[in-house]
Parts: sequence; structure tokens; C-alpha cells
Amino acid sequence: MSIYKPELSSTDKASTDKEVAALIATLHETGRRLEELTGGEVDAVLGRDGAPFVLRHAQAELRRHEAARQAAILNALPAHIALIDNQGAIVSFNRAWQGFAETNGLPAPSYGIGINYLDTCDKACGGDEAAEGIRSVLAGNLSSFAMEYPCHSPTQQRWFLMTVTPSSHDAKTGAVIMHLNITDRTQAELGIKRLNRVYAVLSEINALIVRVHDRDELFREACRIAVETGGFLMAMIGIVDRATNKLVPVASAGKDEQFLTAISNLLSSDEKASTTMAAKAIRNKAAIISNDSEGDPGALFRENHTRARVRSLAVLPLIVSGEAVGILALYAREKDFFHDEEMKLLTGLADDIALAINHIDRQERLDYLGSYDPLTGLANHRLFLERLALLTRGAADNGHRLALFLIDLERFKNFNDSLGQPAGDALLQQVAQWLTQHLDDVNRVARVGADHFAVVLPEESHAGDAVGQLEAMVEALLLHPFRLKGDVYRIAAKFGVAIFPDDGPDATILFKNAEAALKKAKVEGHRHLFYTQKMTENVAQRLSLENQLRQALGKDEFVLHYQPKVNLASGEITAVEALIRWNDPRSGLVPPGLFIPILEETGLIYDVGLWALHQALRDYLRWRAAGLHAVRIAVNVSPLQMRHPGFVALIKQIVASDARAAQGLELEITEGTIMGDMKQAIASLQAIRALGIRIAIDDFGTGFSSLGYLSKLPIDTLKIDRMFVIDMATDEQGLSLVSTIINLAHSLHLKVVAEGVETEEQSHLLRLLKCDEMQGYLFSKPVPVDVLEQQFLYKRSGK
Amino acid sequence: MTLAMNEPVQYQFRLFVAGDTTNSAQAIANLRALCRAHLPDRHTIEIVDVFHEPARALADGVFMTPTLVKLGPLPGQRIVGTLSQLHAVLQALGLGGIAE
Repeated sequence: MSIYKPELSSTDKASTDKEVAALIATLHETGRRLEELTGGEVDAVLGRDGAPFVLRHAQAELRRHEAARQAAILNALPAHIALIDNQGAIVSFNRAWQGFAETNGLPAPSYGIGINYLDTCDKACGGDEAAEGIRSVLAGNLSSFAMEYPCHSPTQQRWFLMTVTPSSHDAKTGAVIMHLNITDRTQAELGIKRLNRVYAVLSEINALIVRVHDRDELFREACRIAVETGGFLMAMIGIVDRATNKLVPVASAGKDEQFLTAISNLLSSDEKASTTMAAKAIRNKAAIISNDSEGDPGALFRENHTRARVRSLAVLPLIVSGEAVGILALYAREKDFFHDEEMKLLTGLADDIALAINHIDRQERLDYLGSYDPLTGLANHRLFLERLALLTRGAADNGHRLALFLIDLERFKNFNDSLGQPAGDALLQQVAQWLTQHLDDVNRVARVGADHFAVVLPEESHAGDAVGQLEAMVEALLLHPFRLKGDVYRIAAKFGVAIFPDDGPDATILFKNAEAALKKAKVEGHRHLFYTQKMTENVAQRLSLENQLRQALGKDEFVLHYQPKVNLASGEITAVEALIRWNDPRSGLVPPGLFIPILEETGLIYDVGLWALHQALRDYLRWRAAGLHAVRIAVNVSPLQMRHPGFVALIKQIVASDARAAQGLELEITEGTIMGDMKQAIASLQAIRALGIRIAIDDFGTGFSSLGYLSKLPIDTLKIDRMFVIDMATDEQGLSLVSTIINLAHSLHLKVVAEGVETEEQSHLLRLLKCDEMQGYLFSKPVPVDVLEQQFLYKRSGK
Repeated sequence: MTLAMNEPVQYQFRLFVAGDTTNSAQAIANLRALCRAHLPDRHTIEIVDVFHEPARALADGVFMTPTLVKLGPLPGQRIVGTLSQLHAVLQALGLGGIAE
């Protein structure tokens, strides 16, 4: 230690500086001497410019220090670290790096100093990504690079994280490569995922067990869930066949045919079957796992597993009442899948499935006894109610109705008393058979009492369906010859009907109400009765109307009335619209609103519509022949007719009867008729129009009111609905709407007819708006053909 | 004046070092130990690394490291070395009485 103490006074500072500077100059040349002089206590001296000069011993020590410290830090790290130069050559590495290479038996030249690490990566399987990352960092394109990768040793599964960072701010000087073993973390993650998969399978299969009542479905669904939810490669359930004492696969999922066949063969072979894992699981009543099915000598199936990419499997016995009745086999595509925690869950799962098997077995026996009528084999009351409940739920979901018929065989007691019970039983069996055949579905029929049967029918949309079906059944039952002891008997029955959901929101109430209806029918002596009185009335009325309408065509009770269409400019009759009227012999002319909807619902409209076409054509041709003012007749065509595939051919046939026929016809169709299947409608209309028949859109504006589609349609005439005509005279908006329709139609070269014109004012306005024709009470109501002829068609020739 | 008499004297040190070199590190450690033991709560230490601030070494006329400069109380003093001989250093700093 040397102490010198001239104070920092400015006067002698300069001279001291000078002296010291001279001294330093000397010392700079003889650093050794300085170290000696200062007893080794000085590290650095500063030059004239203040630049420090580290003395040699301090310098060496500093370097040694620094290197030792860095090495210590690097060696203390668990990560494998190496420094590479900008060409990728390894410059140095830490102990972990070396240790890893040594314990993994890597040859020294593949990891040591001077080795090009990029080459090593390029050669390694899957090292492309790593090499690419390192190159990007060395080139300065990436500020750092990281990737996780698996690197499994022969004994152990391992995962690593590799990071590459530049060794200084200037990436061009090289980079630090670090590999960190992240196996624990990765395995923990994988373990959680694996366990979650098993949990999901467990919870879904438990939900299945509660729901399912059928063994096959249970097995099939359980396998499906294991594969779809659990991500297992395959799942299989096998059951021990008691007769042969061999295991038979009963359900599987995800399995390829070849594999399944191989398993089946193995299980059925005499000598090998007993050595399978499945056989062991059954013998020991304990789960067997193979977490490396490729390397496990206990798994007989190595090649098949390898081919099917199975890496681990578990076979769990299904134990019912202490006996292993089968196995659940799960195949995973991951090695080492089945750990303790998974097995705990899966064993629980196998127990649950076994429990369900047991439950279903018992249930099936009980079910049969408790659910079926032993005499007829039909469902009994209890089962029928269950089925009805299912059907009502389904119907509610789909917005359908259901019709429940309760059927009481009339005078069955007398029958039984006079012919004996065996004959009575035989009759019940025959009725059961007849009902089953009639409905073509045994699940919709039941015997619900001594001489009571129940039938449930689906209804598409309205109550009318049930009525038709009921009528058909009543009639068919009455007509059916039942043969007993060589004689033929005819059976009459009473029906009580309840409609779901109208007459009851669920199966029980519906059934009760059908019973009430049946009771009432018996008391009041009706053949059948609906639970709702109004319905019974409606149905009765409707049925009779329907029946009469069916006969009306044959009895020639339909007539055509004609309503003239008048040219607004000239006032002349230009055409007529044919309107169907029903001349009921009992009540006279029936308003169209009362019977047209029924014609449509029953499909009768097709035949009646056809009749109208024929009749109109006959009238037209007669007018021509008689020299009358033969105007074109517009006939309404229903959607049902338009959709009929033979309709166009039929029209062709009709007009082919006379060369002038086509020019006497116009077909009026509504917007709705076209909108259903526009493409087909357009094709049909084009074909009809090509014959020379005109097409008019009826009630325009009441349907979809899309003016846009008009231009696409092959039509001649637009008929403005009466509602617009009424509105036109009452408010301005209505007027402008009609004006718009007329202008648009004209721009599309369509003729415009206004319907329902009743006042002079309306007629006046329409004329102003340049509407072409009008039709309505103002000019004439629809009139019988003779009136039309006398009043309107004679006009021209008469004057 | 009375007030000033009662106030403890503040020692102000500036220690010039050369990075992490051994002697410099020792000097820092020794100075801190000395101050903790003999001048608690009445000292300030400024460390100047000549590698980073050579101009300040020039300004203070320091040509070797480690060098301790006592800026206050006056008179100023400078001591070169590791400061490991505690007694000599205390004497040099005029703290010999305290050390006993």
C-alpha cells in the first residue's frame, strides 16, 4: 500500500501532474515494475488521455475470473447450451450439453467443438425446422427462435424446448443454442388431456346407461362414444357365449374390418383363445393393460396392432353378479396411455356397463311379462301408454297431431257366452291380427282391456286425416269376415277418438279422454265419437259433405257460371271467367266457399277441375258452332292440378279434340301455385302457352306480391285482386298501388284485368289508369250459361 | 454555530476503480466495511469506474486504480490501493482516535 498526500490545491497540482505523468510514461514501459512498486495493489493506470491501462496480472485475473464465472453459470444450468459461430460451428458448450450427448451415446464428433451444428440438425429426423430457425437467427432475420419437439429415447418418452438467440447484438457473431428438457411439463399436459378424454367418455356413457334400454344399443353406443369422444383408435365389447364358452365380439367402433376379423379368428381358435389378454382379463376378473403393445410380448397381437397403429390397449372385464360376462377393450394410438388414474376411471366405467347389462337383462324379462298381452302378443295398456308418450313427444316436436282410437268390440260378451271362451279368445286374436295388418305397424296397436283395443295414428296436418282413416277402418272392420268354428262372423265396433294435442297435452290425459269419448259413444249409441263435441259435429258435417261431393260429379250436380270481362275502353265483352257452382239437390246452389276448400283438401278438385275444363270447352265450341260471340273462357286451375305431373299432357289432349279449342281457353292460376316450384311451373306454363292457351295470374297482389318475378313468367294477363280495387277508391295509396301494378304490367306487355269492380267510381278510375278490362257486379254477376248466351253473347249478332 | 458544532461531520468519498478487477473490488469492499464500522450515517461513497468515465479520473488527477479520494471534510486526501490495512487507512483519514 502506498499513500501519498499532496492536497488538491491547484498550485502544486500542475507540478504533481507533470511529475506523475513522467512517472507513468516510464511505468507504461515497465508495467512489471509498477506492479512491484504498488505491491500488486493497483489494477490499472491511466494514460495522459485518461485511457485506463489494465496491468497484466489484473488483466489475466480478470479474464480468468470472467471465464470461470461464465462457465460456472452455464454449467449450473440444467439446459443443454452451446455457442455456435456465424457458420454454425460449435464454439463451446456446457456440461449439460456434454452430459446429454454422452448418456445418449452420441459419438463425440457429432456434438463437440468445431462440429457444424447445422449439419447435425439437417441430418437429424425432423431437424429441418430447427436448422431453418437457426439459420434465420444467424442471418439476423429472426431475433430469436423457439420450438418444442419430441425426442424419445428407446427407454423413455421425452420432449424438449429448443431456443436460439443471438450471442450478441450483432447476430452475425453467432448464436446460443439451448435445449431444455420439458418432458415433465409435456407429460403433465398430456396426462391431463388423457384424463379429460376418459372423463368425457365416462360421463357420456353414464348418460347413455340411464337412457338406453337395449343391450345392442348400449354396446354399440358405448363403443362409439369411446372412439368419438374419447379419441380412442378403436373400442370393442365382447360377450362370453355361454354355449361355447368363447368370447364373441358384439360391438365395435373405429375398428377396421381386417383387425376385427383377426380378433374374431383369434378368439374362436381353440388353442390360442385362452392366451389372449381378453381371456386373461375374464379368467382373472381384472383389467389387463399393455402400454406398449408393439414391444409387449404379452400382447399376442403385435403385428396386427402395429398395422392398425395401436400403441397401447386395455382390456377390462365386465363383471355381472361376480361373473365376467364379457370384456371392454380400448385401443389407444398413444403409447403409455393407461395410467393408474385412467384405469381407476375405466374400471368404474366397465362396472357401470356391467350394471347396465344386468339391469337390461332383468328388465327385458320383466318387460315382456309386464308389457305384453299374452293372448294376442300385442302391447298391453302399460306399454301402450309408454309408446303413446313417446309418440306425443315426437309429434309435439314436429308439430304433428296424433289420433288415438279406442275400439270396443260390440256384443263381445254375448259372443263369448254363446260360443265359449276359446272362441272368444280366437276372435280377439283375429281382431288383433287384423288391426296389425290394417295399420301395418304392430307398435301402434295394443289390447288395453278385455274387449278393448287401442290404435294410434299420425296425422299430417289437420283433423281431416283422422276422419278418413277412422271411416276406412270402421268400414273395413265391418266388411272383414272373421272365421270361427267354420262360420263367418262380422264384427261391429264403437270408437272413441281423442286428438293430440287438441284433446289432451299428454298420453295419459289423451287416453282418458278417448275413453270418455268411447263411453259416451256407447251410451248415446254412436258408431264413433270424438272427445270434442264440436269436432264430432264438424266431422259429421264434413263427412256428409265430402260424401255428397264425391257423388256430385257422377250425378252431374256441378255447373259452370260465367262472369263477363269487359273492355274498359269499348265496353264490349272480351272474355268470361268460368266459376264452379254446386247444385245440391237438397239445398240448392251451395256457395263456393263452403265446398271448394273440401274439394281441395280431399283432392277431388283435380277431377272437378278437369270437368270444368271440359265443360268450358264444350260451351265455347258450341258458341262458335251456333254463331254466337264466342269469347275466350278463363278456367281456374288449382295448385293440385298444376303440380300433377300429367297435367300438361292432359291439357294437350283436351285441346287436341278441336283445332279451335286452344283459342277459347285461358287458365287462371294464383301466385301461390307458381311459387312452390317455380322452375317446374314455368316449364308447364310455357308448354301450355305454346298450345295457344292464354295464362292469367289470378288475385295478383295477395300472394307473394313480388313484382320482380312477374317478368320471368310466361303469362298474358294480370288480374288485380278485388281488395286493391276497393282500396283504390278509398285512399290515395291504394290508387297509386293500382296505378303502379297497371304500369308495370303494361311495361311487361301484360293485359290487366281488375276484379270485383262494383261501382261507377271504380270503373272510372280504372279507365283513367288505362286498365284494360274489368270484371265485377257493376257489369254482371256470374250467370248461368243460358243467361250469358242470351244477355251477352247475342249482343253483337242481335243488334 | 452551536448548531453546526452539534452536527456530526459528514465524510465524502470518491473511489476510482477499474471495472471488476480484483484490487478494485477489494477496495470497494474494504471502504464500505470501514464506513459501516466507523462512520455510520455520516458518509457518502461515490464509485467511479475509469473504464466508463476516464475523463473524471483526469479531472481529479487520478492515475491509478484503485484510488480513494476524500473530498470532505477538508483537507482532501487520496489513498491508492486496496485499503486492506485498516489501521493505516484510519490514521491517514484522521480517524485514528475513533479506531481505538
